[in-house]
Amino acid sequence: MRHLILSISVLLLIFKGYSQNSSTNSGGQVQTVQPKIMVIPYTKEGEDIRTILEEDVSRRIAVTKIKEAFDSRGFTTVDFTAKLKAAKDNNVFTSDNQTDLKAQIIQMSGADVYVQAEVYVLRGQSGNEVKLILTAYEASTGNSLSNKVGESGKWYTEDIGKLASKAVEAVVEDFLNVMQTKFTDIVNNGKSVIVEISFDANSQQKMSSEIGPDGLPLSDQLEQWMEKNAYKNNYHVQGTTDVKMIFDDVRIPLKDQATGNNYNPNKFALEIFKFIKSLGLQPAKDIKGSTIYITIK
Amino acid sequence: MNMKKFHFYIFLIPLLFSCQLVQAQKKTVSAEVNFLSESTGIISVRSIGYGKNKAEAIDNAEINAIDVLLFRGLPESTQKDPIIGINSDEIKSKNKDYFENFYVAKQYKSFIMSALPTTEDLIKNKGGKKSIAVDVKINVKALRMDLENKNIIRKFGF
Repeated sequence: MRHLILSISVLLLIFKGYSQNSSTNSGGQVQTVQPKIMVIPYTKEGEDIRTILEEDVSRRIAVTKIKEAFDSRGFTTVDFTAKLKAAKDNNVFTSDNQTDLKAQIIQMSGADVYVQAEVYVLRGQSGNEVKLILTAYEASTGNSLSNKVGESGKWYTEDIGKLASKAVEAVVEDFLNVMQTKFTDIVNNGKSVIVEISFDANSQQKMSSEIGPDGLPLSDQLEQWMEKNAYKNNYHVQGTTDVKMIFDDVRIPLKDQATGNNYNPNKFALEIFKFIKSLGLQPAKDIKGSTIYITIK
Repeated sequence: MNMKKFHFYIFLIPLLFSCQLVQAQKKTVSAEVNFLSESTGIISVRSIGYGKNKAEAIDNAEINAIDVLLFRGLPESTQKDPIIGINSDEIKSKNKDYFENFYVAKQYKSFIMSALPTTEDLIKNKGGKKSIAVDVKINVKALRMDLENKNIIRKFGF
C-alpha cells in the first residue's frame, strides 16, 4: 500500500509539469493563432527605407490608410515604424544594403504576411494623380496573397496625401477580400511549410541508403511518411538528390485534428524528427518561420 | 371559436409562415442592381423592385440590392465578390434561423440607410408586372459585421 501511494505521488509530480497553470487555464477554449501582418512601403534600389517614411508624407498616408482598413475589419497589424525604431534602437541592422535591411525588419518583426505599398505620383497639366500597387506576400514561402492597383484619378490639387488616400480607398476593400479568400483556403486546406532534409558533413547516410525494417531507400521512406502525414495528403516534392530532399509545399493543419489545439511548423517538425529517429538515425531540427530544416547526423 | 377551428388555425399559421420563408429563401437573386457610388462602408445602388403596389416594390428592390451584395457581388464597386458566396440556396438552407430573421422579420431593413424611388408611380411591364427603380444606400460595413458576429462568414484572418 505504501508503495502504491508513493508511486501515485511520483506520477502526480511528473504530470504536474505538463498540467496547465490555474492562472492561464482557459477551460479548454482555444483561440486560433492569427497571422501577424505588417504593412511596409516599397523602396527602390538604393533608397533608404529608414528615411522613406519620414520624408515622404504620401507613402506614410498610404501605409496608414491600409492599416486603417485592417483595423476596420477588426484586425491589428504589426506597426512598421515602431519595429523600425526598435530595430534602430537595438542596432539590429548589420548591413548597408537596403534590400537586406527590409528583409531584416520583416524577419525581426516575426510577421507572417507583409503588405507592400508602392506609391507613384504622376504630375501633369491635366491634373495630378497617384497610382498605388498593393501586394501581400506570405513572408516565409513568398506565396502571393493579394495584388491590386489603385488609382486616385486626376485632380487639380497639390495635396498628394489626399490623392494617395483616394487611391487606397479605391482598392483596399477588394484587396482585403482577396486576402480573406486565401486565408479561408489556408483554414480549409492547411498552411504551407517547406521541409528541407539534408545530411551532416560527417554523416555516413545518403538518400539512397536502404534503411529501416523494410530496407527501402531513405528518400522513399520520407515520401511515404509525408504522404500519410501531410494535411489532406497535400505535399509537393521539389527535388531529391543523394544529399538533399526538398518538399517545397507541405500542408499542415492550423488546428491539431485530435486535440483541437493550435498546430504549428514546430509540432510538425517534431513528428518528422520522431519518424527519422524510429528509422535508427540521428536527426537535428531547426525551424525558421515556415521552413523546417532537418539534418541527419 | 370551437376546438376544431382552433386546431385548424394552430396548424395553418406555422404552415403559412414556413411557406413564406421557403418562398423568400428559394427566390432567385435578381441581377437588376447597378452600382451608383460608394464611400467608406457605404454602397449606393439602383435596384429594380417588383410588386403589386409601391411599398411592396420598394421592399423587393431593397431585398434585391442586399441579395446581390451577399450572393453575387457588385461589379464596379469594391465589393466585386459576393460577401457570403455564390450558392445562395445552399447558404440560406444552412443558416435557416439567420435568414428567417433577416427576410421574414425584416432584419435586412436595419442595413438600409435610405431607399428613394426614382419615379412617383410604378411602371407597367410586359406581362402585367409592375416595377419601380429605387436608389438604395446600404451600410455594408454593418452588414458584414453582423454576418461575422453571427458566424455566417469568417472574420478577417484565420
